[in-house]
Amino acid sequence: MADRGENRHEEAGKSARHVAIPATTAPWARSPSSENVPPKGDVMSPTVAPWSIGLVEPQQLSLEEKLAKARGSRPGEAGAEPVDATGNPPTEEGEGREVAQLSVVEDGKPVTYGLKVPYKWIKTHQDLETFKKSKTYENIKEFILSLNHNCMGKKIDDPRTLSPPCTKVIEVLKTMSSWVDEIPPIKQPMRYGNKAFRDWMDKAAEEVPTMVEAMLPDEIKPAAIEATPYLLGSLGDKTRIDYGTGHEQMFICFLALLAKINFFKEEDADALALNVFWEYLQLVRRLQLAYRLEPAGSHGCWSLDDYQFIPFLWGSAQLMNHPTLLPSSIHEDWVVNSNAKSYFYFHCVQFIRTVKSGSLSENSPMLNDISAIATWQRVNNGMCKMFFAEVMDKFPVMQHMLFGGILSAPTEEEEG
Amino acid sequence: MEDLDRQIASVMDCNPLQEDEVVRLCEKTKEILQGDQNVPNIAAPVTVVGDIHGQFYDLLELFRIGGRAPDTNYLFMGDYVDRGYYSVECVTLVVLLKLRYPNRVTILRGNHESRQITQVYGFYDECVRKYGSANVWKCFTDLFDFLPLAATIDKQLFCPHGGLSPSLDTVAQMQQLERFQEIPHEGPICDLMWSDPDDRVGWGISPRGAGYTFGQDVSEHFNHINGFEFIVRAHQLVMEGYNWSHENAVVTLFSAPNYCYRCGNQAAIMEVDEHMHTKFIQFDPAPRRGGPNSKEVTVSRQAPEYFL
Repeated sequence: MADRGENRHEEAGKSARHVAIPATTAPWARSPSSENVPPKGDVMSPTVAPWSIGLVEPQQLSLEEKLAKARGSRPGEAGAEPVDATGNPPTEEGEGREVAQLSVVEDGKPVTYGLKVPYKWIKTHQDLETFKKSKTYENIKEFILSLNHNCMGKKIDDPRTLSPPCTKVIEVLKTMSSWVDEIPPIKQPMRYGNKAFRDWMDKAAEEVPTMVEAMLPDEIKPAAIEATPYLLGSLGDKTRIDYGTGHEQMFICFLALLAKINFFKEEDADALALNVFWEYLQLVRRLQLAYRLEPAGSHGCWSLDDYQFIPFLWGSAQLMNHPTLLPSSIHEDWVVNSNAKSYFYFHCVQFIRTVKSGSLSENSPMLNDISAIATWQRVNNGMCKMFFAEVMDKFPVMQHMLFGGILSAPTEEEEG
Repeated sequence: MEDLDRQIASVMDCNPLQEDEVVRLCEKTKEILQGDQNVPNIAAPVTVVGDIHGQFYDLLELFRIGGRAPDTNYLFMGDYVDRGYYSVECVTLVVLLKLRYPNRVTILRGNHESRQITQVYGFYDECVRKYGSANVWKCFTDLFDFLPLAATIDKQLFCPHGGLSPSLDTVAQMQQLERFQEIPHEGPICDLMWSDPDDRVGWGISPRGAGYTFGQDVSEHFNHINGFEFIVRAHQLVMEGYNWSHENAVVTLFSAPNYCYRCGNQAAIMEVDEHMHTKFIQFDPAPRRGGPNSKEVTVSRQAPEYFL
């Protein structure tokens, strides 16, 4: 989407002003204790320890070192001999190494990217702070806000001509969805998440690289090595059998990356948000239900949703200035049902009403509160603030962020 | 006593206590817990309960099925708060029962009985919402520092909230820990609250970022040297409400049915009779409440901070 340089900047500037994003301050700064304030918005797993993140030392200790330390801290005498240790999986070889080059035209100028196998870069809170000031962060933010802007006043099912790139991504997502039929959930008692999801993920790991490569035109085909891990990372966690907004964020990065190298064009923006992302949502909803993905680390009734965030953001944009549908309309069943295929927001409310028991006021007090807001404009403003505070600026989510040559880790300059 | 009975009746009707009542309740309960061992031994018969997580109406259902205290003795294994809508009511009720029947009710600490975790997963927000300030949250979280770390039943069953620790081979070692503090980020106290059993042998790094995973060999060794039949723990959602693992060396108990309003799981409690025979009782979510006269969710809608 960078081929119309100036125009694009204007657009982005406009959308950014339009939604009035404030500086990213900690919204929960009303925390009662100023020390050890944990990050909110852990969305990647069942209850995880908020402090496990950002502490360099424990993170970097190997299991053997941790165990040696633990045994050293036994109250009283040391007892049993150590048992077999099971370590972390080794890091993928070649991560972060430049493997190919890619030249594209960006803002009218030729740009060459050194392509890398994507790798995790955010290891500490300081890294996150650096990332927040980086060009890559700005790119992703701009991408999300410009699609937010594009959604305003538009329906998912408005007639729309899709470009071949959008159609191809949708086909890939549909193919992945069909694998759920091939890999049915295992009918055996298990703790919670269905282990067949691991087979589904294995199939994805096997097939997706070829599919992404096939999708890209020759001149940008090498970028498949970078794009693929984002798509694979957007489907859930294979080990924990769970899904959270961190995975959703990975899909946004997949789209942003492909837009950056001009696979998607400016005119694809509507379709990216309202057709491609919609198809992604259909896929992950299916995975969530079929394999019983654990509602990842959600805050239970105190979060917006157990799994998604973007549909609330772009969904509230869709409804801005709507003559009849109001934030309070979520309480009317027939309104929700008749609009669930046109508006992300109503789709999400319908999903909650389908999968959660009880009243919305009890199982989703936050959505219930938001329904008291008078205009979608204000809802969308709030969603923007909340999205950046709770997803993009949160260590538990962003520690999983992948960086490569296109969405690059902060440079030394940026690290300053 | 009369005061406590009145308060119990009121809370069971889903009316939270007044703030000053919570302050007094927590102070008095601290006095009782102060003298408890880190790992008290409980005499059977007793009914063991896993995670509750603010699902108050399901907790009432649990009492309907398992019997009311003091007719039934209870061991609650922690995680009263966070995620559900009624953490205040749940934790108030179990603490009231502990204070009223100290010898018949035991309440342990779970990983959510912590200042840090409750600020992330809901209890803090709920307290501010229901009381208008964080005072009640502060009282309860100060009280949490006094909760025992685990329990044993007739020295034959070991009941922690999470699991085992590579720093702890014996219960005697656990008794030596200095427990009156916030749950540390690592070390033996943290492990008891956070660890999970795993299919892999030995100790493993926990994907939760706190505690460890431990294999069947670890569980069997621990049970053997401490003379335990098996470990009863909570901490993980299980579809049937209870779930044996490690070839019956460990059982996981989860007492919040249809967790987070959507997981579709059954809940379970474990009855241990005076002969140490164990029986699991599964239960489903409480019949739905509702209607205009329902007491649930009386708080008026107010725009969350981001939307002001």
